Amino acid sequence: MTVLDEIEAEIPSLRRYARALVRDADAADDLVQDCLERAVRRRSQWRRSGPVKAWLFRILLNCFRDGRRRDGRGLRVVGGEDAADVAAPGGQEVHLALREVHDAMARLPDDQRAALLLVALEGMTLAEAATVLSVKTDTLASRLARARASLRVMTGRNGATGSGGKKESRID
Amino acid sequence: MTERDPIDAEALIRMRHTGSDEADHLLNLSADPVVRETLDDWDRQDATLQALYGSVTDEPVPERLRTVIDEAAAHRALGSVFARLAAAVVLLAIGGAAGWGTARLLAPGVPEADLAELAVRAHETYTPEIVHPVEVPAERHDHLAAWLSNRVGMKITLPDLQAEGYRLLGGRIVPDEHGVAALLMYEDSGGKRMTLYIASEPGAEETGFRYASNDGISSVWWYEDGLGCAIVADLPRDRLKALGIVAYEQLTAL
Repeated sequence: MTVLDEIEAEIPSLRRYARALVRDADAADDLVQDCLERAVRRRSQWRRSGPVKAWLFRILLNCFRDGRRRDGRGLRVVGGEDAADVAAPGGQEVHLALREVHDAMARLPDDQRAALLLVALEGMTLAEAATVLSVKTDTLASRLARARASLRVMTGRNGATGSGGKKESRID
Repeated sequence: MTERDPIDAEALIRMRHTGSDEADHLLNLSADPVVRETLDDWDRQDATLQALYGSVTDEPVPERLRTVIDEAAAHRALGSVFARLAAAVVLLAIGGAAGWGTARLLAPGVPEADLAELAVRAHETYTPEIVHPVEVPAERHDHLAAWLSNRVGMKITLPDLQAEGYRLLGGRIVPDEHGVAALLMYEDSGGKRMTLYIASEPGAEETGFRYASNDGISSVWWYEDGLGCAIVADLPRDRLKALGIVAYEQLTAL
């Protein structure tokens, strides 16, 4: 497989992650396109020192951050994709849960949402996600703990390990 | 906040996302109801996120994303080959009665080199195809010749290069600078392919054979009777020249 083949193989995952991150299908594909263009230009720089997936996700997140800087408030989409369109078994209760979580994710700060999606949606380990985000695993663990706690609070599951009722999510 | 929070949460996160079977096993053993409830909740969070966004990977990949990859792959073939072709062009003049002539250097960027560039690009595009390298196979000889002649706008005879060890696979039309060119593909007994690119070039000055080669791809091209022709292959110069002469003679016959 050539590098280009390996990059191409990751396009579905990149699209999935981008869709969850920016919550709008077109904006997500814009982000993936930027990422691919950058990756393809720099592909000779990827020395196979790790999996191509991690390298690509790092580029995607850099593009995301660059976009945020450029656009001021950036790619935060209010509303965006309607989670109620997602088909789910189990009927109405599951429906609500999907909706709640989708809305709650929007209210997480970008870095928490980005981190949580790497482990929860993309199934990365702490070490892999830390590499992608260029942070220490301790930093990441703390960020994930906050994200998950916020999510619990926002979806009304304020259990014993919640943050004592204080809403952690900030709306910038 | 309780004493156990947030330190426990972070430790739990670390164990849960280590990706090791041992860590998973230890977590499963925990009898602490708070830990259990927390872990269950995190499982639900993950399941919900996967339900929300997981189906994106089932969608067909949009064309604009595939294009990024495809263009990069094409560039690799074209950019590297042609840039080097343009940098190393040698002219072989084949006079009539005067016999084989002098070699002289053509400056890069010379107009005739456009023909070679297009021919090389077509060669690189279609010779890797396994299932459908040509659009009309050689078995439909008359139809192929008629179709190509019609599209290119001049009578084209399909050169028979069997005596040179090349059998015709078939052909197709490709875009040319001013319209349409014919691309004929040949293959030797070892499966190595060679292409003959034929474009209509009314008013082009007749030239002797021009030759360029770099890094495994070589081309011989010439202008005659309103056609511009180029042979592209990974072959030594003499071989290409020999093929060029046979093709030239057959194309100008009749």
